[in-house]
Amino acid sequence: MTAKTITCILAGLVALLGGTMSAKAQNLSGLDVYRVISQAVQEAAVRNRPATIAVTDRVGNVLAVYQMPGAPPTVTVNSGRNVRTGIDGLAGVVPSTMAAISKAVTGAYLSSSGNAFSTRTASQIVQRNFNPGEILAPGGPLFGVQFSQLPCSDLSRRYFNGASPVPPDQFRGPKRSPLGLSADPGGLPLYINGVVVGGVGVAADGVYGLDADVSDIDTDLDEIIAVAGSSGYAPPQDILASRITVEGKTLRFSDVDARALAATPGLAPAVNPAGFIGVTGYSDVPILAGQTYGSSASGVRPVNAVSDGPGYANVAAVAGFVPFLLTSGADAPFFPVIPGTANAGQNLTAAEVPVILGHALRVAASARAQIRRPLQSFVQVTVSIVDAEGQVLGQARTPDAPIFGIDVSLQKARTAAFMSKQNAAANLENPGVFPSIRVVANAINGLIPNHAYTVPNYVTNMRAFVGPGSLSDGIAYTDRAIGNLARPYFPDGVSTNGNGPLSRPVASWSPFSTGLQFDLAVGNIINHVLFVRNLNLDVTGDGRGDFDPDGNGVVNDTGLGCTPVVSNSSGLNPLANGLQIFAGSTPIYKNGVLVGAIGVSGDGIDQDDMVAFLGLHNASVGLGTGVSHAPAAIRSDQLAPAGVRLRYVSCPFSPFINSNEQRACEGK
Amino acid sequence: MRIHGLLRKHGIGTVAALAMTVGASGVCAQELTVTGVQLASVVLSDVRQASVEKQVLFGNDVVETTHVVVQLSGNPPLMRDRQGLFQSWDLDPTHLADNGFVQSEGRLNFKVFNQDLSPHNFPMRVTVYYRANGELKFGFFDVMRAN
Repeated sequence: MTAKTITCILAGLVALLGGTMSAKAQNLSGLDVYRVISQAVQEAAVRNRPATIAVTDRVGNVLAVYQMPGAPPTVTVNSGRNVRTGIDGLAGVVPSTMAAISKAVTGAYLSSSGNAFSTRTASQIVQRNFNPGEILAPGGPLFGVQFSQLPCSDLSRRYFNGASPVPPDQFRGPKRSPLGLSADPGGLPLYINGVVVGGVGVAADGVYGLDADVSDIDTDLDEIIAVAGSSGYAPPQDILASRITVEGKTLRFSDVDARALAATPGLAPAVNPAGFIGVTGYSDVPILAGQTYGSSASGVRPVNAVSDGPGYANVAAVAGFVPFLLTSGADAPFFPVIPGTANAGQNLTAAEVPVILGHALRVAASARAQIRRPLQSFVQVTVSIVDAEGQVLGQARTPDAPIFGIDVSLQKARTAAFMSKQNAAANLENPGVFPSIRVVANAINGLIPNHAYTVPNYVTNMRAFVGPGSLSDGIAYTDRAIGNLARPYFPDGVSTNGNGPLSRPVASWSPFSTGLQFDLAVGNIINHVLFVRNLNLDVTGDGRGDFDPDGNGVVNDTGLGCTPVVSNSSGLNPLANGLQIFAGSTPIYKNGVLVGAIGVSGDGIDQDDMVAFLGLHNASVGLGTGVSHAPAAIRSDQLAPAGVRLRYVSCPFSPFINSNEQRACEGK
Repeated sequence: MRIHGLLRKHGIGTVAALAMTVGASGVCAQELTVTGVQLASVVLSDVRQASVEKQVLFGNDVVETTHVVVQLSGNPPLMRDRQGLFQSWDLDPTHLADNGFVQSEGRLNFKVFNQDLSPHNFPMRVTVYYRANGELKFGFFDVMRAN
């Protein structure tokens, strides 16, 4: 197909589908941002509970941070589980600004024009039981999503305070979230005319935690102040989390509404301008207007079939609509379509990658969404493809997919590729790299005395639990299978049993300390906290700080890429935005050899699984080049550790909008 | 091999920016290993005139070839060639371009950048390699901007 032909087809698709596939253009003005801040400040002031408040746009640009006099300068991280590993229990270290920004980003990133989710919603779906507190219930469907959008992600763009010259992607998203996604109530999305335009996050009560009991109705200070701030920018009632069910359970949006407010938001007075503060790595003092999602300036826009090259033009042609992609610099694709690295003589070509992406998006557009309103909406997701080394070969998304899936889909793809490759054990046990981050590890030990830094031990656990050849025997792992092994109970939810081999034991487990996933990124997270605070700790005890090697009075930020892992075959980081442990990915094979993985995120996990699995299957049929799923004999569902069979994927029953097909993934 | 447009050398090479190479451990130069080692970050005070070099120790190794790979967020890894130009790399270590860096007094000096880096996003990840006695040894570090 020629570029000209593709362009003509796409022009027709835009005309046909533009009304239903494109998100309406909206953004927060500077006045909007000021109004949100002033409404929140008024509510906090009336209650005499000084707060820190952050407002972001949809792609995570921090538009303003306001700190009232007397607001708690730091938060105590507390899951309520009385564990002291990971960052759980960390007191007096994490700035309230980081908590407030993380909560605002979470409200914005989890939401879309079809669903409005909050940090309370996040709390409900990341804990060890769903619903939290429900005995013998499996873990939350997004178990582990809190460790996404990490400050070390190689995908997220960074803000440089007062930078000159201004970096090319200074105001493009998706931006990182300082603590990952938040499960602490008090983070809400902001809407204008039914379109999500950003989020507001509040830290006033001094605790960064979660809601461990959804059977009651809370009166949460942070959430009340956030509700006040979001007045006039609330989501449409029909798309609230409380209108959406998952596994037959209704999600929660907020435990309070406008009736709980002590002041009238519309009468909020002007705020003291001295309260606006800059946050290192995130914002400067002047209020910013938000970017308009869908514009090049936002960093996420529709594919341009001419200027984005034949790869993305072909993604659109196969998908049957114009997808969105990330842009960078002079409006070029952030992830150009490229061929994959060869593994044992096999690789994904630059012609195969768009076909897989396109077929996955085509499946999404034909399937019934789990988390979107109105009913019969189609699935909206981001799809990422990586090679066996975790290098990104292409990424595309449906127009209104939640932003969080941009990072998560890539985490999922990398996790499937990394764990399925025969050097996974060697790379996790690499003796050369892990000691080299000892300074950060020492800092962790100083800050978190009970947290043993034991990444290689997870390989030992896998060998004992799954088999002696684990992570070096070429078993094909999906993220669903890795999730099975990364829960604090095995099988998931059976609380009389011990933990999976990639999880901490339940006695030391919490959503702030999950196991291998967290331990791989903890050095980056702590480093970033010290950077934001410019806190130059002396952890080696030599009388001088260890985080300002230049001696210029500035603590260095965490570098490009999460985790200290480097591949022993390329020297590059195969998990550069962190490990993910909930479903939605499958490894890709070619003529029986692992060549990469596809990751999907943005809807229910069964839908994500199906888009990845069927997308790859349909592409393999069309391509006829040897690209395929893993041979059945090496899939993770052939393993039954402790007598319990691992899963490969789980697709929804009768998943399509215009078809009666019931078991879409069976036999493939 | 084609020249990659992203990091085409601009031939500035005049005033070197303050690229610090002293690491967190306080060691100015470290040895590379076959399993990789994390080297001290480099912080650029002026990204418009960026000179980035990295010295490593090579002990008793007889260095045969030297290589540099740069990763910018969102872009495929690029390898540096002997002329200081950056080209795409297929991640096959046997295809890495030899930069021919000179050895002196037990140290090997990798030249990475000497150009205007302001059009690019930060941080960047740089991996330096040398081949000796049939083994590939490597280390990696981040290049950060100080606004």
